[in-house]
Amino acid sequence: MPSLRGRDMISITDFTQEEIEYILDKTDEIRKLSIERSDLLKGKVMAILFFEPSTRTRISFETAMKRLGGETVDMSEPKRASIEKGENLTDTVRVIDNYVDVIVIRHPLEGSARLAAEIAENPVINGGSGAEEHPTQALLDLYTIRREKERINGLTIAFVGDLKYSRTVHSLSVALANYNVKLYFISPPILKMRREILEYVSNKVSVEEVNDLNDVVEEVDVLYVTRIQKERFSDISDYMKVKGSYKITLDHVKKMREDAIIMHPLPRVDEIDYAVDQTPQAKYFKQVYYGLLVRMSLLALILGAVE
Amino acid sequence: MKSLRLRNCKIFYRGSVISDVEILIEDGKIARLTKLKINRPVDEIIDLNGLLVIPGLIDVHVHLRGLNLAYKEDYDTGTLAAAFGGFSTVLDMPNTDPATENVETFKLKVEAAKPKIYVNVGFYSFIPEKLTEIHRLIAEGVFGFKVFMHRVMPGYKFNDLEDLRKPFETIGETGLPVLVHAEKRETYETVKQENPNGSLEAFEAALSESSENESVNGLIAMLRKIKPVKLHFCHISSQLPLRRIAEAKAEGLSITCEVTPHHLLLSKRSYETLGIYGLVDPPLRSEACVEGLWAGIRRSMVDCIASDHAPHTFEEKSTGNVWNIKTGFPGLETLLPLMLDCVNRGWLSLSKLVKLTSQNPARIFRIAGRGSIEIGYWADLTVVDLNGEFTIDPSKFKSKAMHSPFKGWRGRGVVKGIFVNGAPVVLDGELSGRSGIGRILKPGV
Repeated sequence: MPSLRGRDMISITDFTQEEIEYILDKTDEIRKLSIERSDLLKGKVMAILFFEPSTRTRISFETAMKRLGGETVDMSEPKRASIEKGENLTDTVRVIDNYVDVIVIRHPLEGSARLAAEIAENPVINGGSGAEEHPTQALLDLYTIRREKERINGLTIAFVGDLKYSRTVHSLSVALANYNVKLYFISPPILKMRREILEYVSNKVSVEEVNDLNDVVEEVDVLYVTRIQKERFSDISDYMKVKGSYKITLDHVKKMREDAIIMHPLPRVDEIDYAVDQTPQAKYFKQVYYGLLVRMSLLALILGAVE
Repeated sequence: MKSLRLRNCKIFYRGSVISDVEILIEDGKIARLTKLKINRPVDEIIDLNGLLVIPGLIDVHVHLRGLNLAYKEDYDTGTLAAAFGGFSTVLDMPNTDPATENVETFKLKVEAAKPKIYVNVGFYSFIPEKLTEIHRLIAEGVFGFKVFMHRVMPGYKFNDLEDLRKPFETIGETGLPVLVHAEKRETYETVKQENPNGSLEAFEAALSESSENESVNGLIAMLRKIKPVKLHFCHISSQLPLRRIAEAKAEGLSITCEVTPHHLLLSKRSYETLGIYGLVDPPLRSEACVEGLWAGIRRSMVDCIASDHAPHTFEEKSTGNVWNIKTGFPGLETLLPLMLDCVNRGWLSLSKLVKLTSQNPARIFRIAGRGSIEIGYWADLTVVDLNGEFTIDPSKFKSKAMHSPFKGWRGRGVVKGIFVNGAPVVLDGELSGRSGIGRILKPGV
């Protein structure tokens, strides 16, 4: 296995199947370090460069760095619109690059993390850019499935909700296309999976688009839920029609296999009933913990502390 | 699927100005916003040369006229004026001929406007005479119900606030707003009777600051007692009512308000140069009032800036006495340049301007998928040159009302183009679209 030291992580597609598996394997190993404090990354500094608010992702990266004994500097700034100033991503990255060993960037626009990676000498990790990419989320989703189901091959995985605009769903389904899985895409007609992703994925694995969750709920191993935002609908009656049909309730869980799992990238609004949280299938909070482990492992690999 | 790639854009996005962005538009909606080069083949590429792209403006207070008043303005000229002024959506007032007061007159407007419009249009109605008609109007897509407190208008008749309780509560249940022109009918009628020949002083007394304030206070007091209804105060012109509105909002009442550029930039002193042409309802106020409105904008007490575009012929605005002369000004083609100049002067920030002219209007009037630059939203985009110099020249207006109280005003901030539903209607200051690109809108979620 070639070293991952110094590598950028901008898109999940930048990594081979073998490399992804390697990161997940290392995540298993690093788990014990999350309990006992480690100084694996002592003396290393990570910059958090967030151009849009995201408490969850920021704290996850910060904690991952600190658990391994590293330091973080937070360059997130509340952005004020200034016509003279505008925004100069290039200069900011050039400056920060002098101070730190790794940069985590989050920016509302697609392509910005790629641009930062081209400029910076140090490795850059994409903490979410635009509507397209959130690679560490895809990694932690894969890891969650692998840990909870003990395998990825052979599973039936259903995505439900807004499949058109949810970037986590895009990254994860692209990553899953490398395994032997069956995928269901369940969404209201106007929020169907983006065509280019559907084409890519269906060339590699078995894919079916379904309107009603009830048709497949009994056979799935993994149910991946995303939020449907009402702003996506131009007519209130369209929204009202679909609103209830994509909400996960105890009735759904009862029909599910006992060993099936429910995942969600969070934050949740009301697409999963709170009563579901108590069921053994609910894994979305555990997913957050796995996210911390995956980010620890990724930082350790990229900074060369683990080979 | 029709696709359009805009390159070399500077965009106003989630509170920031971001440069070197490409925008991909597919089927009228924003499909991609990216710092990268869009490589896939598209039907058309437009280079915006680094100009600033902001969300298409939404004017919540426009009189498009049309029908029997088409000599003042029609749907094509009014929406062309909107497009050249940077507005991708306008909401039209019901005091037309015939007036919009029931389903029949509502449909008449929709049908007349549909083939002629260059930007998106939504319609308000008067409160219908028969209150049961309210729900039918909502099914047709009405955006709200307009009430003039000081004049007897078509539709539902009322003498006092108590008469308004029933219709307000009925509308309140539907979630749509009531739009109010706040004045006192008694004061207006009395002053008018006592001064039949009229004078500027009488006009100001009939439509005074205290009338506006008392009317606002009365309505707020009423809102506390009745079932909830959304109230939008049109063209607030002085600071006291603004303060009352802010307090009532803090109490939890569902109230919003707008101000106009003419109340922000002109004052009583403007009568010296404008003469009776300067009459507008509510009238131009003291400089203290103007200061108060700007303070209101700085303190976020104002929700929208609207033009109150009120086209009349120049003759109608310059002959007769103050009681029969036509009041108001065309404003669609002057609002954005004037306000961009204020941004350049530092009187308000660009993000506040965008909030007051697109984000808030879309939220308050439930215009779904518009009012912001977001993936999945309609590509309603206004292109501006913040440094470009302008001189207001009414002889170049697209509106039939080729006059303006701002004639000859100079400043910086020019509208260069507009995209409506993803189609370029104005490019580089020239007409590039055709009528019918605009859509008749209905309120969303």
